[in-house]
Amino acid sequence: MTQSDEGAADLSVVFRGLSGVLLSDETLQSALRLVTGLATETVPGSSGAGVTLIDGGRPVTTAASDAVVERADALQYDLDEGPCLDATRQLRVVRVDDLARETRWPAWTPDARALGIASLLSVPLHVRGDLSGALKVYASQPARFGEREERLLGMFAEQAVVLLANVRSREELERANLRLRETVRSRDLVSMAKGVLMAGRDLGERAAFAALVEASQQNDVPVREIAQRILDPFTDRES
Amino acid sequence: MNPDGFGGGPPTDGQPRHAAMERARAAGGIGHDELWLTYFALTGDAAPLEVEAYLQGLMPLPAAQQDILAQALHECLGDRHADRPHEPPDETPWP
Repeated sequence: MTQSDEGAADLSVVFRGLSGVLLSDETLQSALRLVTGLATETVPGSSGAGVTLIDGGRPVTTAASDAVVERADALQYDLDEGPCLDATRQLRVVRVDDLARETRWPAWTPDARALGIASLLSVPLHVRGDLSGALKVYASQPARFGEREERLLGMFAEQAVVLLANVRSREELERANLRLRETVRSRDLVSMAKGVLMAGRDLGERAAFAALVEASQQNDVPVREIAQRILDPFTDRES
Repeated sequence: MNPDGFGGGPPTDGQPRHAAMERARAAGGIGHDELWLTYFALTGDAAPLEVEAYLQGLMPLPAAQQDILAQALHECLGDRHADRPHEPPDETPWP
C-alpha cells in the first residue's frame, strides 16, 4: 500500500468513528423497505405498512409497502395532519379503530377513507437526536388492531430503531463529505506552502512548518490561513 | 530531540511534551478523532493509533510530527476557547 492509500484508509476509519457507519441513500431505502415488508408480515391483519423518517421537523425519507400507504402518507405531509405525524411529534402510539368515526384529523380522514383505509396503528421511532419518525400499519377492515398488535408493533419498532440508528441521512453524509474535502484541501494547502518556503528560503521541512506556525501565532490565524496567503500570489497564474 | 523521540520540544514545566499535550487534550475535551483530523489537515503523517500511542507515552513520534501535533492541538483548543491568548501548548499545559 502506498502512503496516500494508508492516509485514505486512516481517514475512512476516523470518519466511521466520527459519524457512525456511513451508508448510502440507496442502503437507507433498502433498510426501510425491509422494515416495512417485515412489519406487514409481523402484524396480523395489516394490509400495508410504511415508515417515515423526520429530520429536524421535515420528512426526509419514506418507504411504503404499496401505493395506498404511500399516498396516505404523502397526504399527511401535504395537509400537515394525520396519525403518523401525531405519533412522530408526540412520541406516542396512535391507534385508529375505525376511520369512519374518526374526528382528530378532519382534512386527512376523508381522503384516507377514500383510499380504502379503515383502521391503523402508528408507533413512534425515536432514532437519535433530531431524527425521528413513525412506523405504521394499515388495514382495509375496521378494528383490526388491538393492544396485542400495539405491543407487537412496538417491539418491532425497537428493532427497527437499532437498524435505522446506524443509517445516516443524506444531510449527515453531506456534512461528513464536506469535512473530508476540507481536511484534504487544507492538507494540500499546507503542504504546498511548506514547499514554497523550503524552496524560497532554503529550509528543511520541519523548519518550514515552524515558520508557518510562527506566522500563524503572530497574525493570530490558523496555519491553513497562512498557507493560503503564501499561495495567493501563485493561484491566478496560468502556468 | 531526545533519543527516545518523546522530547523534541521546549521544556514543559518538567512534564514530558507528550504528557503535556495529552493533559491539554483531555482538559480541553478534544477527542482523539478530532485532534487527528486537524493534525492530518496540517500535513501530519502518523496514523491515528500512532498519535494516540505517542500521547499515552507508549510510542515515540518524530520531532517534526510532534510539532505538527502540537499545532493541531493548539488549533483545536483555539476553536473551543477562542478568547484565550495564543501560546504554544507545550509551554502552557492546559489547567
